[in-house]
This record gives sequence, C-alpha cells and structure tokens, in this order.
Amino acid sequence: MSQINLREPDRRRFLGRLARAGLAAAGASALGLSLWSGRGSRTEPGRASLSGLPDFSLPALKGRLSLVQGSDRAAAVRAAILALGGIEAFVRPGDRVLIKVNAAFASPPALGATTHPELLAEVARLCLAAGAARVAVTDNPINDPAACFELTGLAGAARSAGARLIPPRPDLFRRLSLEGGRLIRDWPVLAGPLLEADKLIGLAPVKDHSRAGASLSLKNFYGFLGGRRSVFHQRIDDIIAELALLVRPSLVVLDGIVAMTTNGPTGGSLADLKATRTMIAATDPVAADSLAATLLGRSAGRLPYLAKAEALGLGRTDYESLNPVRLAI
Amino acid sequence: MSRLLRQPGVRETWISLSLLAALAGVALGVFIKQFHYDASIYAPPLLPAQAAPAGFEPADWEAAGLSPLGPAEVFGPENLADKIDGRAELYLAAGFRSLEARRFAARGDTGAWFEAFVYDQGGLEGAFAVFSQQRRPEAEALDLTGLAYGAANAVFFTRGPYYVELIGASEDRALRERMLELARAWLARRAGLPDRPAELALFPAQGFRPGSAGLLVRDAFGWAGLDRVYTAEYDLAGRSLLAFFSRRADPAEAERLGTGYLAFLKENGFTEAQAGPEAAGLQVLSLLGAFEIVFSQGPFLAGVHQAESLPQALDLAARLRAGLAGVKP
Repeated sequence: MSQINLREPDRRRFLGRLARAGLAAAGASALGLSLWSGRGSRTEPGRASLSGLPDFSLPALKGRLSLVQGSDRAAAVRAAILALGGIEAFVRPGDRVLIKVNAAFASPPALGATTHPELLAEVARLCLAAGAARVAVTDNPINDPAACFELTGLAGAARSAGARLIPPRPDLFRRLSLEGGRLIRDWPVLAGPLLEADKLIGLAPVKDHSRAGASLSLKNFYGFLGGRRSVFHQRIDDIIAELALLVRPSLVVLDGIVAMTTNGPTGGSLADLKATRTMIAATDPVAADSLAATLLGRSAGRLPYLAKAEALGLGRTDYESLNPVRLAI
Repeated sequence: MSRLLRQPGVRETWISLSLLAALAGVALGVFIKQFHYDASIYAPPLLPAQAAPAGFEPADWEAAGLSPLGPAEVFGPENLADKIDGRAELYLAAGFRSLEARRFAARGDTGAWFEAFVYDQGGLEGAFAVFSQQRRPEAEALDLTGLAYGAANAVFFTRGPYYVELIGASEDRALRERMLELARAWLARRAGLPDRPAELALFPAQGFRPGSAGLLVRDAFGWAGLDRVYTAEYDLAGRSLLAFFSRRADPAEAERLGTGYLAFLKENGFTEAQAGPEAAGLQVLSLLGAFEIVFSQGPFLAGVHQAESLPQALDLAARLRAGLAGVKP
C-alpha cells in the first residue's frame, strides 16, 4: 500500500517544484504577451457585422445608357446625364449624395490613372444645383490617401465645388459578409459614407488594367474594400462580380475623353493615353463597362467579370439592347 | 531520505496523458491556424530604406537641381501591389526584389514634380523583361543607356538589374531635363553594369526593327509551358514578322519544349503545312493563313511566330538558325 510522508525535506522539494512551475507559467505568459497583437480584434464591440449595403439603384431609371462624343469634359458629362433624364431624375432636394471617385494613385490628373478633377467638380456642382443637401466624395486609395486626394487634384475639385471629402478613416470601415459572396466574407468595407448617403454616383476613368483587362465603373468599387485587398488579385473577376452585387449605384459615369489604353492601371507616360473623346453615363454599370471596353479596343467577352455580373442579373453586356442615346457636342 | 512513496494509479496516468494530449492538440491548432491568418488585418510592413540600396542619393538630386518631396518608400514582393496595384504581377513574374519610389521637385518650384521608381529585378533579364513589355511604341530614343527612351513627361531606362521610371506630373521640358540629369548622376555610379542581355545579339540584323526586342518571362504565345522567350520584330518586304528563341538547359530540353509547343499549336487548330525543301529541319504549321515555324538548334528552341508570308518566314528562320548555330555551348 502506498504512503505519503511529508517530512521537512519533502516540503522543500514541493516548494522548489512550485517555484519552478510558477517560473514556467510566468515565462509562458511572457512569451504569449510578446506574440500578442492588438490588431487582431474582430468586429468592434457594439458594431455588428454587415451583410450588405444600401441599394442605391433607381428602379424607375433602370437600363438607361448614354454616350456623348466631345472633348469638353464638363459639357460632355452634362449632356450625358441630361440624356438619361437630367440630374433631377437622380438627385432630389435634400438628398445626401456620395460620389465614389477613383483616387487610387498619387499621380497627377494628366496621367489618366484617376478620376479627372474636372469631372468631379462638374458632377458635384450638378448635384448641389439639383438641391442635394450635401455632396460627399470618398475612396480608399492604394497609396497614401492624403497624397492621393491632393496630387490627383480631387481634393481641390471637391473644395471648389462645395463637396466634402471623406478620407478613409479606420472608424468608417465595417466588417461585412456579402450574402451569397465567397470572397467578401467578414471583410472590412468603407461602409460609413455609404450608410449616410441617399444616392451613390460612381465616377471612373476608362483605362487598361493588366490584371482585370480593364478598369471601369465596376472595378472602381474595389476602392470600397479595406484591409489587404491585393489578395483578391488572384481572383480579380470574381471579386469585381461580387462588388457589382454589393454596390448598387444610382448612376455611373465613365470618363473616356482620354482613355489609358496601355500599361494600366498606373500608366505613367502620356503615350499610354489616347483621346477617345467619349463620356458614358448609365444606370446599368455592366452595360456602361461593356460599352467603355470598346474604347480600349476590347469587347465585353474579353472581360470575364462582366459575364459573371450579368449572370448574377446585375446588368447587360449587350448594351445595344438598351438603345443607348448617342450625342455629339 | 524521505520521498513520496505512492506510485500514480492507472486512472491518474490516463488523466495526465489526456491532459497532455489536449495541450498537444491546442499547440497543433495554433500551428495550423497561423497559416490562415486574417489577410484583411495583417499586412507586411514597408521595408526599411536600406533594403533597397539602389535608390537616388543626395549627390544625385543636388547635381540635378532637385529636392525630394518626402522620404523614399520601399516595397518588397509582399507589398508591391500596394504601390502599383495590378501591374505588380508583371514585375513579380520577372524576378522582382524591391522598389524604391520617391518624389522630386525642381528646387524652389514644388509645382514641377516627378516620381522616380527604381525597380531591382534581380538580374539583367528581369530588368529587360519589364522594360520591353512596357515599352511605348514610337517613343523617343535616349542615349542614357543601351536601353532607354523618353516620352513627353517621362524617362525610362535599364541598367544591370535595375529598371528605372521617372514620371513627370505634366509635360514640362525643363523638368524633363532635370530628370535626365538625375538619371545621368545615378547611372554614373553604376557605370560598370551592362544594359542589354547578350542574347539580343543573336537576332539577325537584316530587317530588324530597332527597339522591338523583348523578353516574355512566362506564358509566351499563350502557352503556359513556354517561358523565357526572347522576341524581335522584323520588317521584310513590307511585311511584319516576329522571330523568337529561348535558351534551355540543354538540347534535350529544347527538343522536349518544341514537341510540347507543337502539340499546343495543333490542339488549337494548327495543321502541318507543305513548305518544300527549304524547310528541312523546320516544323511548319499554319492556321487561317498564318504560319508558325518551330525548330531547335542546340540548347535553343526557336522559330518565327504567326507570319503572313511563308517564304519570308522561312528566310528569317534560316538566318536565325544560322546565328544560333554559331553559339558555343
């Protein structure tokens, strides 16, 4: 039969073991503390994860598409929107309008890699003239946001037109799991400005994109994603299709007055640009992108994300079936 | 000497083993989970400037009358897309190691600015590949290096493993002169490095279109099995032709690659063409009036791609083959 004999030497042994166990526990805790990252928190307390965003599309204006040829950017966008029914059809007095620009790079407007400031200024003025309570401008650029908004001229354009610039502050991002989405799962999205808007207008340049084939109005919504979104480059067509499902704009405008036909999406040389003298406005981003692709010498069939978006019922690649309004100024 | 006399019971042993197994399970879980981190949160940090020692130095920009507009940004393979988005794939496929980007302005005039990009592609081939695949047609040749050209707002060149872009915010001749001075100062410190891969000398001279040589690092001509392919365009009797070759490890590999490429062509509708005795040793295929000539010569797989004229394609293939035959193993 076993016995326990706790005389003095055993007590010392016990205390020694206790001390060693304590040191081991403290060491393990210290190691854990050194490896701990405070950035790993999930959805912030009190802020539920989102399953989608507001739908800004206007059913009464479904399937409208216009194309204006000219070289005066402001006049062309005015004519293109007028052909869809006028800005008043989109913006009601008191509306809070959010304009999503492409400010991805800290590059000058002359390179055509970002939304042209003249386009932003004109559309913001139109919205305010239609009675918008306020016009906000946002994007989550790839490069430093402050440098991007300033060097692209978009900050100055917003100021001059009376619009408010919303930089992508951390508190404006919400984690979102897109219903039916495979990639946008528990992913940070620049939702703050969208949740405080009544109408959404996308303004994008027409440009080549080495990965996606073309960067147009749907690719422009990539700028609503936060986090390390470059991981999606390996599935660029799928992520753009999911963005089409997630973001339903009231209106999109594609600026093809000058298009970046090669070396996109950054370009760099003025030789990458071509004067295609075309402004496109639409309530169907899939149709708008399909039409804009032709400015780059491509068909919708060469951009798989358009077929994917169409399969999801988000628009038509057969843009001619929408009887686009064609004008020249 | 006193001691604990009781031996652990069977139940205690099993409980202990269970606890140890549970701890091992936890450790295994942590090990597995760390391969699936939340990509939306964790991003690799910017590299320290010394990680890209190829950038510009104060002596360079002072000599050019320039001032930096901020510190240099350094990017590695993990975060190159954070700077150049979709174009990163091109650089990564060509051996990219690091990028140092920095903005400069004319001293005393911050309105006249440009951004300098110094890509370290790990070797001469990688630098040539990214240079050639982005070369703007009809660009102005510059005498900076053996591979250099300019646009109205930009300067592009290679030296050794480096590919350099200097991109101005606008078309400004005075600023471009300063960009060239900066480039010359930088190049002077790297005078011993070669500019052009020696392989370019293997293309026949007659009919060669200057500035048309290129290097396809992967997926050449649409086939995933064909990589590291040098190409050159020719103008022969008013027709355009493309010659190509790829140096492999040994003649057997070149033969195997040729067999695979021919099989790929036939899978895509090419059929063998009747080409006469001058095609001895050459494989000649055709599809819809376009001819593809393929042959191996020592460690080289070579040929003429999608030629409209068979006699001219055969002539070019013969001259290319003669040049490759003269290469010592």
